[in-house]
Amino acid sequence: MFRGKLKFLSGIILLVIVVIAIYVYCLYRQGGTEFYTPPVEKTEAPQKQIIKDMTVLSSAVEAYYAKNLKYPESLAELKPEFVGKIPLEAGTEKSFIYQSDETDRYRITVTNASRYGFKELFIENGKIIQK
Amino acid sequence: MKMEKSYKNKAIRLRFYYLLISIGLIFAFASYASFTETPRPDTGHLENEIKQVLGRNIKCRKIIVQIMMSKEKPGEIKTLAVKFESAVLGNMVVDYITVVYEKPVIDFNQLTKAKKFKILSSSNNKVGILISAQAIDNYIAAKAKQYRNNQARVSVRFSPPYAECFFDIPVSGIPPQTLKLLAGYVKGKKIEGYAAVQMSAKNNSLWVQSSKAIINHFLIPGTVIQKLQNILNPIDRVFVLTPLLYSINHVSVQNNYLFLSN
Repeated sequence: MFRGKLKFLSGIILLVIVVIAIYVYCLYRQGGTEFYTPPVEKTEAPQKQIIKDMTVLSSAVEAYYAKNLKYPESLAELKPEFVGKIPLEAGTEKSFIYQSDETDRYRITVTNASRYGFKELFIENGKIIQK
Repeated sequence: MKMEKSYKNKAIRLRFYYLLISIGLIFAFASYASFTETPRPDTGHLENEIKQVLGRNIKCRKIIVQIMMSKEKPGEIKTLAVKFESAVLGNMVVDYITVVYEKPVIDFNQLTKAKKFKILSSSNNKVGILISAQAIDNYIAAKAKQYRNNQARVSVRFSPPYAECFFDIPVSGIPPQTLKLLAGYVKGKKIEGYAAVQMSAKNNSLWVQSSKAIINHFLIPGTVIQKLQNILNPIDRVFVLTPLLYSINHVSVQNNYLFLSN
């Protein structure tokens, strides 16, 4: 009876040790220099993704202004200094509409706001308007 | 009788001239007074004056002041933008700082007499600070030197929305509380590794949220990262340039810069 309990206990201990060893091995395996990469960003649902992309673009336009004291003529001017690639509208892959007077006003709009469940969706001078 | 009349005429004429001269003088004085109270902003001259005053207080390579006048209300400043290139912000030399005031009311007395830049009021203002990876590397190296930790090597790379940090730091340069948390991952006398972080800001304090951290070949579990963040945050404070007074509340990682804004 006692021997049986001892066997069971040592079996449990062994199992715990094996699990810990596997866990440590997994952490070790994922720690090589080839894993020195940022996590892959998940693509959100179009309604969330579109706002995320517009915010990124707006922030890049503001950064462009901070450097040049004027807004860019087109979104293409943000590349490559502020953004790696200009995001397209999630779901439709159309380009965002960008308008600017270069001095004190800019607006980033979607081609069809109703597609994302809004009547109006745009960012003007850094403020997001979603109705 | 004739003589009396001519004297009377002369006196009236004299009084009339006296009145004319008085009115002229009062008008001239009044217009001078109104001019000195609210000077018409000559943008070129004003831009230069602000530039010179700010140049005395803020160390930087170049200052650009840009004033746009309102088309609707003559004499009203629509926007005042000030850009500093390679400006010294505390212990860091940042690439660009731009502050824009909308409808600013400038204290002209302070500007001309005391040579101080002061904005009495503005309808809105925005600030943008651009910091390159190189500027951050230099800042960290200077800090390591300050703490006599010359062997510490830290470099930063921007991969939006993450800032990647590569480090090789002697164990002696790590605070005991942090070292205690990382005890299981320390081999030898240094910690070498990688972290991908996202940043945020509130009232000029900078915070990091790490999504991935590797130390000495071990991927650090989320619970340990969370404890580390609790110890390290806020990681730093944004230095505020005195005459400009701003509060940084947003951070975005861009291709070539870390962009801080209000």
